[in-house]
Amino acid sequence: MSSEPVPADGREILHLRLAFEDARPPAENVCTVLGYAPGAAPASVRETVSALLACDDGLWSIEGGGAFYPAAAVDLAERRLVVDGVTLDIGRTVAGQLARSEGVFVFLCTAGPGIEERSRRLMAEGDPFTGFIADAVGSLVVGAAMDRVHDRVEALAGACGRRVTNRYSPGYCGWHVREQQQLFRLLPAGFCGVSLSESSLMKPIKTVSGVIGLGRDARRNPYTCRLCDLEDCLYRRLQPTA
Amino acid sequence: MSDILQRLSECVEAGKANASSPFPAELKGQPGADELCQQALAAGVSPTDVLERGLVPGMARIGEKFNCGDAFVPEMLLSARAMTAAMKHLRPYFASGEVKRRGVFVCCTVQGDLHDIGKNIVAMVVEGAGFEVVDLGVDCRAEKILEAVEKHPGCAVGLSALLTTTMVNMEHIVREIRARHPQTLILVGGAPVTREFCEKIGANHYSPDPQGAVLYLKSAIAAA
Repeated sequence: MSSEPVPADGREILHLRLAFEDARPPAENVCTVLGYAPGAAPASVRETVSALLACDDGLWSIEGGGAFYPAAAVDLAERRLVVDGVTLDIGRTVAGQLARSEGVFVFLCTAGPGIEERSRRLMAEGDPFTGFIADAVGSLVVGAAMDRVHDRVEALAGACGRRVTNRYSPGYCGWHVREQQQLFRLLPAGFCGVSLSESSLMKPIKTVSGVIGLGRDARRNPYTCRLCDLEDCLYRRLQPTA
Repeated sequence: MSDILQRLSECVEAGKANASSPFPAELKGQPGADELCQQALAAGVSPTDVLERGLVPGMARIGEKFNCGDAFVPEMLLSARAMTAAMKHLRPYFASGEVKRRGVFVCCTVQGDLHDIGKNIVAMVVEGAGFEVVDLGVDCRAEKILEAVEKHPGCAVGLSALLTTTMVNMEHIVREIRARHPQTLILVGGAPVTREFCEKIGANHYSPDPQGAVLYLKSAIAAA
């Protein structure tokens, strides 16, 4: 990992490039999101997962980061977050979780286009099995990469006497995915090479975005799936009590 | 005859596409669905028997395991791959009409959405269950779907969306299909889609997994 936050356009921007090694998920986690109980995946799945996790031949271009906004206002009644003149309709749940935040970090993290292209090519060539598993690996890699970004943000905030919340993304916890349009206004144009379609689809697809609250009373909890109503979600599958 | 069909069926269930498939280990080096299908046809087994007594039962068994939680999507896909390897030898018989499919399934990802992995998986599993699949691709408008429905009378339609922003486009598509072809079976799926949403927009069935779609299509045909 490299890079420290630098001022840009009046904002503090953090931009990290990560090696695959920094974001490689455990093979068992991949099997879990594919549906298998610990140790129960068949040899075909275990060997394919291992082969994909051993593969680092230019498949990954992992980068992430975002913008620090030291001041942000949460309106609990209106379920809104106002950052630098941009209003985000974040919904009741996320507003509640960010209520004690004084500022926010707006994040973006991507695994790059390589894994998506590999998955698509495998499927087109008649190997949906490996293509599907590659897709799951891509989702976990971007999640693990974002964990590293989150850790860095926590460390940087800590140096300023602030703490961080969990991270929240459009499409989860009642925050509508169309709000990506507003969120992207708070990031530098083309940040990490990610684009946003009219229907709020991020490209590359293996990309996550959202906000992390910053504040003296902010808190990062280990488990928040109970806040979200998305039932069929890989993060939920990774939670033992979900 | 029954021996080769039994082996063919077992290969589909185990996901053994051809002789070079490494899985399952106990069948390594042995013929897979590809070779056994050719052997069966060369031995004079009718293509209908190859399909109905060899391939389809193999897919049905892996489907049952999926329903019981004894198998998951990757194993379904291995089986679908084996099925596809065998089916290519049956294509001339489908084209000539000697072998009948169970029905036609038109599928696509709806307007605005480019995610197709879920749709592709459903297409493979539905094809493995004996249906002809007409895959319209991604970002499909109602007009394109209606064109396909008109070209394949009596077909069922599967609509997929991954985003809540694109899921709403399903409602318009369902309305358009209903206006011109009210009897068309419409299945919906994708991460944000729910049973409640399916009912709200007037689709026939929501399934969170490909096997649910197959079971629904089979039961709808049986009831017709």
